[in-house]
Amino acid sequence: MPQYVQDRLNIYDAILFLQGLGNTALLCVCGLGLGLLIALFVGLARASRVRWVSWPAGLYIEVVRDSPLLMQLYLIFFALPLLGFQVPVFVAGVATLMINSSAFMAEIVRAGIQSVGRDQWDASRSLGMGYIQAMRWVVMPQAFRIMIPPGVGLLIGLIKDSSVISVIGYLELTRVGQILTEKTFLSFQVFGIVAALYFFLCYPLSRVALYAERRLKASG
Amino acid sequence: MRTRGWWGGALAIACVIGLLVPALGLAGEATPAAQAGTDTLQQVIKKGELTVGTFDFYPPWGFRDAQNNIVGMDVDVAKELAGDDVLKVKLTLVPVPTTQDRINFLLSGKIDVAISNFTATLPRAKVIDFTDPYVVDGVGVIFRKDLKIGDWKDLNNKRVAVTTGSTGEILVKKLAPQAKLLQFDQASTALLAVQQNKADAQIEDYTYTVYHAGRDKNLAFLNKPLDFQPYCFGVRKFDQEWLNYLNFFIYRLQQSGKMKALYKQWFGAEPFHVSPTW
Amino acid sequence: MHGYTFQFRDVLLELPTLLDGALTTLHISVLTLLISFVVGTLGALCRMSRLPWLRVPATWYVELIRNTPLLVQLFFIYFGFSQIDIQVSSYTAGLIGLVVNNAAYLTEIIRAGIQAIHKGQFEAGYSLGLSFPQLMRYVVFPQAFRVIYPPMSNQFIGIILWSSLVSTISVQDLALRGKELASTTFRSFETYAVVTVIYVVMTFAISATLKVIGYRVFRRPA
Repeated sequence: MPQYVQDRLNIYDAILFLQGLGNTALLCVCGLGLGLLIALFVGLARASRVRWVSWPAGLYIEVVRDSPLLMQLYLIFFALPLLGFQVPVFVAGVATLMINSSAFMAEIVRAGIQSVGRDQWDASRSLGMGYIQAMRWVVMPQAFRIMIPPGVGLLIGLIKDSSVISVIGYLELTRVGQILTEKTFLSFQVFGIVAALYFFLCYPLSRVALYAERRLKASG
Repeated sequence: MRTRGWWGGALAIACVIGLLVPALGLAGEATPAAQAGTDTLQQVIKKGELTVGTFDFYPPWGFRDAQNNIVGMDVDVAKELAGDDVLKVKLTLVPVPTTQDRINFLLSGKIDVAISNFTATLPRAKVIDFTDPYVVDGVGVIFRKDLKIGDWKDLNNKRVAVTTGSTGEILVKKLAPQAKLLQFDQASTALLAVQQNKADAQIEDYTYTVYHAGRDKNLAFLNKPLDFQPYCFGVRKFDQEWLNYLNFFIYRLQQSGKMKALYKQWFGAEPFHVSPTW
Repeated sequence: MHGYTFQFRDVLLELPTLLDGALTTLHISVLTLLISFVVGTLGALCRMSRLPWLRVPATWYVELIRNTPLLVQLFFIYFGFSQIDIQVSSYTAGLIGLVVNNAAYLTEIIRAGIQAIHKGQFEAGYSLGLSFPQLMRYVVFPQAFRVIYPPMSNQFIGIILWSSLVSTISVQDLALRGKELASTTFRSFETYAVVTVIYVVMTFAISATLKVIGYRVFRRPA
């Protein structure tokens, strides 16, 4: 039988690695960007003192946080089409990351808001500020500083978790790793490179978290 | 605060069960007749695009070449299908990541047809439809040379690596019930386990065992392919026009001698007879 | 779409198998937490040490693990060990992988907990003539534990969910049982729905219990 397995990595494989890196970055920017936006609203709702606002938010957070990312991805990609909603692979990946990050981030937003003393809130309201004004000018700027370290940690976690999206065939970093392992059987070299590329994506962020933590400690 | 957390969680569980199960249950009540209108053949012609699910990790059926294009025998068959005198549509290949995903990709409408060394089995045929076979393979065993494996029974008390959901997994449970199963997502991971002495043997399609035993001098294969494995195209149920079309396409592919030529090109051997001799 | 009929019967019949998998998931998660706690404590002490040959490797260990995916780490451990001729079972490799991963996170959690303690406490302890282990045992840990407990509970929930990745190296946990069942019944959607519910019930029950314990134990100011 003719031979088809290639025994070393070539220039096309290098291009594929870069493509995977780019796709992982794109997926994370879209998914986590949208997730942060939603988290802001869910977190505000969760921190609300009005029950019918805070309960649904709490429910959303609880359901998403207690189920594995993989299962959420499967339900979105494979089960939604059965109910009549066709979901392309990129959209499914972005939606999963968005839902997952929004739930975890919402808890961080809530903790941030609640860490700002109630007297601050009462004071700004008594100055005649509306809800939005008080949030925008008094509570959020203070809460934001507290949210940065855990928030960045969460982002790093989700960049790594985005590797799960390889199972639906999206050409991101882990999937590239799989393809090239199947192609060359050089598992260690390939996964070594994959690990290094994830490190390249995540390490700068973890430096940011460390820096923010130090600043926070110095000023607080 | 504390009580809210409690109730939120309890409500969460109630909602997951409450929403998910009835929602799926209700959808299930839609009768097949209501959806019998889906005609993939017409849709393919209208879109001008044929989406085929193949493998990109299973040489020589479907794999990546040096430039990382998907090539292989199944890919050539798909090209024939798209470029056929009638269809003449653009071919889009969707690499299906694992063996068990082929059915998921079909059912969720991600692909029009699965051409991916897909063995038709009766249990699978309860969920999707298969065309007539276009080629035939068997089930094989690949193992480290230092082991004495001459028959399927010899696999008892050995560590046997399989791909989750493959026909091999089902067969080994039946033929060597005392074998210790190790399940992996990918055939290549299972093979790696054998090469690294984490498993004693791997069950895969016969052509796969021949191919990889030829690559690695520490490996041998059992020259006793078991079971008649008809490879068919997979399509969704209640898609009769499409199924008829594909069956006729396969008939033409065999009759014109094209199929035999392709097999020789990729395997360097004569194909098994597709229709068993009885 | 396309005439698919949902049917849960085949999946629910195999519920005992799934629950058996859930037990494996719990088992490996609890062991991971316990061992990681010990390793993480050592890691945190190293990370705060004044000796560079303790501090630098510990810092790099934490950074390396926290910035690469668990899936890749598991793969390296499972297949990497045989490169140096050590054979470990899937379960052991999975456990080691999860511990190596989670110990890095626990190192950071415990470090933050210890650093949250006021400097004066250390000084007071030393001036009372306590040795370093005594200081840690009687002064630092009891207080640090209060700070550590909530993030550690979250970490435990994380471990349960992440442990589903050990199914890729053939550990028969809930996720693998699910995959197996999906591929024998061909009822993937139904199976994954049921598996998801089991995960949610399991993690919710545990996080609720941990909350109650936390409330009971730490309600009184120490």
